[in-house]
Amino acid sequence: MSGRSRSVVVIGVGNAFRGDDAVGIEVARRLADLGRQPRIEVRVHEDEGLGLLELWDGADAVVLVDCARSGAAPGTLQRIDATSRAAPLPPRRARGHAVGVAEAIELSRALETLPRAVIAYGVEGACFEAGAELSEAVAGAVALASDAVRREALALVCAPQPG
Amino acid sequence: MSDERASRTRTIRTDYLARVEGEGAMYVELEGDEVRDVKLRIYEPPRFFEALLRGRAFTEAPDITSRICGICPIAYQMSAVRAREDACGIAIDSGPIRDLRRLIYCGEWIESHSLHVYLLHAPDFLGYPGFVEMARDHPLIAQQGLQMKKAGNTVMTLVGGREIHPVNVRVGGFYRAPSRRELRTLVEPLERARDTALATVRWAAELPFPDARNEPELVALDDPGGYPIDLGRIVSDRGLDIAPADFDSHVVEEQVEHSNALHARMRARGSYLTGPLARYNLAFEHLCELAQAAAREAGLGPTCRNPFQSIIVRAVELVQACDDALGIISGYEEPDRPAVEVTPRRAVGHGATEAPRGMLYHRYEIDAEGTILAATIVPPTSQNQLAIEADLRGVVQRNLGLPDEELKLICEQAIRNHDPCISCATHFLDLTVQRA
Repeated sequence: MSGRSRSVVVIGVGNAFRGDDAVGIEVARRLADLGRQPRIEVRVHEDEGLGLLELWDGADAVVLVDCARSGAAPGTLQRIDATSRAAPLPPRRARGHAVGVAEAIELSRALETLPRAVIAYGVEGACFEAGAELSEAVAGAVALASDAVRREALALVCAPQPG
Repeated sequence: MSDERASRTRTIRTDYLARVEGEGAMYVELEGDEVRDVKLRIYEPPRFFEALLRGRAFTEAPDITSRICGICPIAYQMSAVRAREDACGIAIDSGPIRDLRRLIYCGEWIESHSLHVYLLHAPDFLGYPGFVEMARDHPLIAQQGLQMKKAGNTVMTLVGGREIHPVNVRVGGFYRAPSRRELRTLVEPLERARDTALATVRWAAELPFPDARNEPELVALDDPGGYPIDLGRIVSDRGLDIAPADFDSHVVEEQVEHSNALHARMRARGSYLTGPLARYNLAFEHLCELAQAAAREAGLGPTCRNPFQSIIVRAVELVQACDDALGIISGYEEPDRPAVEVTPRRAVGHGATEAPRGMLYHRYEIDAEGTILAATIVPPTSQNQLAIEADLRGVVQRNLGLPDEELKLICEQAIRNHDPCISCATHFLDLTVQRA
């Protein structure tokens, strides 16, 4: 172990006004105390994805938490290690002006600005109505997701520097 | 359909057009070598902003309407405040408040144009399905786009309080005016952005441009003091010269079955085009020397009628916006007060400004207490729909020999020439070409 801790940025991604899409933001809020640890920063990102590149610029590791739509049961927590594996891009036809998390990761990888570790947590959402609260299943998964992200960030900040 | 006709029918279908803002579809029907029908079908659900403004205080319009678009919120704020001030008998056409308005608007142009030029439009010319794939082979282009976009965002954040849906704009001016010292921090990023913009004009000039020429009526604001951004009369290349208050008399909005966005047209002449091409052709002489020289070096004269070359024109406008912003910062004097008092009265007010993708018109009727009785918002994409359909018809007609997949791609590119904002107009495009 090199003894030098890494800088880790935790980013809760989503939209506070669109039901379960707020789950990443809710997890980041719960982890506000984590941001007081040395070399860990906790951020919320509600804007389009290109802004993510600035948020993780210079960090050694990033942990993202967002709402997912994979077809799994609502509230299911999934972990994706996008460090060296390409994040699945949306199909060509589904790309609008707004840039998503996967595109931001892959753009950053192409520009060689991606942190050395990139972990994404997704909480399967069910309801995305404007103005809605978190659905019961997703609200019930917030504690589990928060614990998982906390453990991940603490492990990354303590992990030895590669090389 | 008869067997003979069916055998001559060619159907090309793309479910969604990528790299535009919003959801829409394109339908093209061909019978033999004849283009029978072209429809830009916008199925983005109606958003009812004009209705939800009714009954709100006139001071709320800039913040409510800025939510119509995350790419051009300043355009909405500026057309809204000018309309409200017009209703109350005030015109802020000069001085530091106007300078700050133009400065934040330059920030939005830089942010919006750099996103479109580098990340949304460039992949069309370089043959990539999207900017991620393009960035793997051309990282410098993507880096320049992000750097430019960041420069625009920095202007928006400093003057507007934050980069998306800024919160510092109000009727009468701003909640807080930045100091000269604060604005000086923008000089270095804007100078770098201006250099990048100049390089971008040179880069864009070398792109392969399909042959195309279209002749819609070109409509833009006319600002006697400079390149049209934040104020001016509404003029066209066919003699239109009206105050924003007369917009309604000359332009009619119509419902059409295939679009959730109203179609705007000149009562007298039909379709027209607003946006970078219109501004460039109508106000070339108002571009700064640097922008004019860059345009000439790129092979453009004072007129440019090929919509595919709009990528060069946007790059020229990036030079203009950076230079304009630097000039404003250089001459900026802090206002005594960040806003002038605007007292409501029963009246109707009109405001027109130049969003990055075209002219944006607002009209408000308010009562003596300043409550909004009626609101009309005519976004650039609503105004451009007919011209885009005409463009598309020409593109299809000129490229009938292309295989369906290539025809589909050039059709999508032709739509992106106009950087349509479908979210504003009512969000993906579904493209169908039917050949009979």
